Amino acid sequence: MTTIPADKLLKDVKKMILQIGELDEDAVTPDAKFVEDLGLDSMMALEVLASLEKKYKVKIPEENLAKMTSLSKTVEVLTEHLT
Amino acid sequence: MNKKYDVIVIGAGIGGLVCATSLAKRGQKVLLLEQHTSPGGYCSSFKRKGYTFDACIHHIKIRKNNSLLSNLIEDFGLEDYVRFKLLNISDLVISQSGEFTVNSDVNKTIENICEIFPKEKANIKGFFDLLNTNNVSYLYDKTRNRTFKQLVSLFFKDKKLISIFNCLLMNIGLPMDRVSALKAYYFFREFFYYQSYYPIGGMQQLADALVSAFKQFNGEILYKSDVEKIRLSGAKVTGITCRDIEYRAEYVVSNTDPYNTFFKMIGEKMISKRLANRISKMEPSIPSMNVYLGLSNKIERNYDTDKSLWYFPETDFSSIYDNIENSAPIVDEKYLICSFPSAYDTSLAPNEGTCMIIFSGAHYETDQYWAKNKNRLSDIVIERARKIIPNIEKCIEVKSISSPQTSYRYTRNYKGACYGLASTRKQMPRSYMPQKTEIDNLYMAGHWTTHGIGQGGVSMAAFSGLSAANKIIKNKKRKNI
Repeated sequence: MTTIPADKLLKDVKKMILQIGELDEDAVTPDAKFVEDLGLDSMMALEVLASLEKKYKVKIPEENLAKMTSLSKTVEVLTEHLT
Repeated sequence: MNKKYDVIVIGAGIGGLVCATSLAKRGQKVLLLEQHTSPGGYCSSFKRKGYTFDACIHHIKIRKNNSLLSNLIEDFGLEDYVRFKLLNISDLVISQSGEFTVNSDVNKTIENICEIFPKEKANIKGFFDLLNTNNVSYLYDKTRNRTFKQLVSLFFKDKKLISIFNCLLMNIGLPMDRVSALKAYYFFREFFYYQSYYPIGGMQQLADALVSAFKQFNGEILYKSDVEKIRLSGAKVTGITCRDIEYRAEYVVSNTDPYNTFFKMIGEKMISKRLANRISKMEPSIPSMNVYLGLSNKIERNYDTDKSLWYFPETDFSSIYDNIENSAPIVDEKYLICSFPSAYDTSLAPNEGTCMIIFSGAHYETDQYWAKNKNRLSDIVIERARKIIPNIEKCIEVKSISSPQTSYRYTRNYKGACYGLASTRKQMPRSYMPQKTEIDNLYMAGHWTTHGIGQGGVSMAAFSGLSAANKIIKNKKRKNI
């Protein structure tokens, strides 16, 4: 599988979160928690996951899904599955 | 030029009513426009010779203290205007394998289903645990990219057990191999884990209560007000035209379908090709033919008529949806889905009579087709209803029939669709028909918009209305900063 540069991944994931959560760009810092800090509801969080899996054609196992609670954590888990 | 509003909401169905009330409660100056003479859309009732019939909705599902509808009822103070009756047993399902009831206590329902399928007991409990889970990643793992058929096959092997769930999916209007697993999850969670309530006086009372709350928060509502045009300046809304009068507003919410909103009220030329293309290809949910019967107190009963009945002992349900798409489903199928609202509130029928409403999935046809065929088709349905009430034909005092065209006329739902956009996997993501449209300050509410959790049903419509209101408030705040 081809490697996607980390900064590109971060940018893509952020864009997805902005779209789905209809959030301001400044609010989505790498460590802002989706539910607690950004006010995404759990279904929005699910949809972020669904969009990521579709875009990168990966399937993230259940035990890792729960770890994807912020932008940086999401990129971290995603990177593990892409490489 | 007329008065200027903060927000104009088009369509007083549940989505529009909730959106308008929520905005008015937060101090917005709101005008709500409805083309029909009364509010509610599908959540309405009508009277014929002393009998009151609910147009479409059998009952509403509430989880006390912890659901969108219970929060709204409290937040809007609806209990000042309407009383709700708890139904301890809301539904009776009569299947090939046996009968079970849906109870306000879900454990009883589970027990009942396990009695019919003792070998599947552990699997049934596993499935119900999934329905009740709050573990989002577990839910996601089980439902992702799946149809409901793929989801249930993780739990059950018994085809007759699976068929029961397929039958109940008539409440979504899609067969299990087409409906999104996530949508079905939401539906069944509500259906089994929430309690059923009936607004005393009929479903119309819920819509009327919302109107009363809306007016109390200084909202204005106009009936018989068909919006002809949503007015734009550039790519931004400026108001609407209705009966040749212009109403200006900063925001417009359309609680009608995308076809009506973008093709009729805005114009195909004013929207992107991508959106026009999507609207041309959108798949509506099924329409229905409903038969409303006012029955005398002389009826004989094979089953108690004090709850909704799902009668399908001769049907495996695999062909029903194909028939709806391709031919005359009412003739070919042998199922019955009916409700008896007078059992919840005896004042709905005179002289201890019974109101009976029979729902059949139908095929969208022209007005001429229905004018010619609806009596014949309703006779077939009534003949079938002898399984429930053997002497039904002798007891009919009032009969009224609604076709998909009737639904269209009263609610303006595209092709008379019962549940808005079909909840297929393709039509689930919130980006498919987003509430925030490509036109600035134009939002959509109701069961034709997507929010990632599926379309159709009172709570989904209410959710979309509240969500549109929240988006507008958020957008306003952002602009003020």
